Amino acid sequence: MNKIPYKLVSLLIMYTIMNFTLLKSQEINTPKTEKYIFAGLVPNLSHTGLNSSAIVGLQVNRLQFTAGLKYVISDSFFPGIGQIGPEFGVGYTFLKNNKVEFFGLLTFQASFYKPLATFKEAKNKRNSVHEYTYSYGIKIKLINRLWMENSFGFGGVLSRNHDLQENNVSYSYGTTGLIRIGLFYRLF
Amino acid sequence: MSEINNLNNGVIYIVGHGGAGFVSLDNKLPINSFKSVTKAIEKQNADGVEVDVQMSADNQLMLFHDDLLETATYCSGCISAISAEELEECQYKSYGTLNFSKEKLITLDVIMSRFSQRKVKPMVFLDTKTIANCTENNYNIVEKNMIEKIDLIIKKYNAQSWVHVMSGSEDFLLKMQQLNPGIKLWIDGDFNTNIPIANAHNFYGVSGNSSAVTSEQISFAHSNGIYALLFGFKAQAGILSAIKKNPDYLQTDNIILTQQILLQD
Repeated sequence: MNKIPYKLVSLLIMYTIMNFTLLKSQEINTPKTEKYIFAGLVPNLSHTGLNSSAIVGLQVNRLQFTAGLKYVISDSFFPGIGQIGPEFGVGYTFLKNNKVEFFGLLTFQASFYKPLATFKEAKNKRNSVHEYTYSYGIKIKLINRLWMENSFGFGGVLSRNHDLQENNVSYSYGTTGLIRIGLFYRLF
Repeated sequence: MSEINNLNNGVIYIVGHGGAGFVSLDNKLPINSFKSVTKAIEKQNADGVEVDVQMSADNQLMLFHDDLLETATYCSGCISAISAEELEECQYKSYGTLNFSKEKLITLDVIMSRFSQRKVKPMVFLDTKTIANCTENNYNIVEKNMIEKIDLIIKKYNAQSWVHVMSGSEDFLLKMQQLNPGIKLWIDGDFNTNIPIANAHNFYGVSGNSSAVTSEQISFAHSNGIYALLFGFKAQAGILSAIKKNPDYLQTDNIILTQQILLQD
């Protein structure tokens, strides 16, 4: 597990400033309350590898609340595939016009998997990986109720591992990145 | 998996290569480092670890893979020319986003001390390295010191049953056997050459790169009561290919994937 990715953090800050400069003059204020529910599919690359999350969310003006299930597709960075875990997010739209929005998103993802060992069966034990990330991204309206998002982020990871022979649990901390591409649909 | 026919009654023991395996995207730890070796046993539940041992200038067994320090650390030169105290200050090199600044060289004693406290001891395979270019005229002395030191460590931690010693040199293994007849010795290299040697000297096993070993050779080793260890794989195809040869031990760069494959019905 690595130290804080300073280069990535700097890049995100620069990216934020750049977008702010570009869009400030185009921003359209929308004083009336806007509230709707949406659903989406979000393939993402994180500490656990390539994942896909099915998400439902509530948008209230500039605030966004999401909840969903994350499914681990590939085992690039993670011991195993097929794990399902919860995902929650809180987002805020900083800038927007009719076509494009820029937002920040705090996400929590969790994955659980059975510890493996050839010498012992681990029936009721689960290792886990928790990821806490902040992403910054862009939302582009495609047609009417459909939009796509792309965001990049960084954050921390906490993993919990079982030592089956000693019946111990150990914890590891570190940093991680997050790349998300999502397709969303406004339900009602 | 279909039934495995080996000397462990169908069980293949999983041994982490250099700890949790060579550095990769899913294993961001230098091999032979404390974190890598303990991760393999304490977090990934491997049956054992393989570590590379070399002698320091003051006759301590250090864990290090390469011939020269500069290839993997910020120090330079040969292990055999530097004292253990200095070597323990050598940081592993960081590469790109892989930051190893907290990882330093360790002695075998550190690992043995840690594992000796476990209720069930993990297997520790010592891949012995006496680098000819580093030892020059002292080769025989370094070799002798290494053999004596390994024997001392085994006795110190009462580790006769869980430490295995590996070498490509028949001569080295014979000297080790002479000092400690009960030790588990593995000869590394070509199976056709080494199975008769292992048989003649009652060595515990033969080890080799999976791509160069056939199931017939392993079967022949088994028929002589000699165990077989395969290494040189990380991905699924390589692991599957190795398992099909019915080895007794798999020295893997991907412990979790190897466990997953072996645990499949």
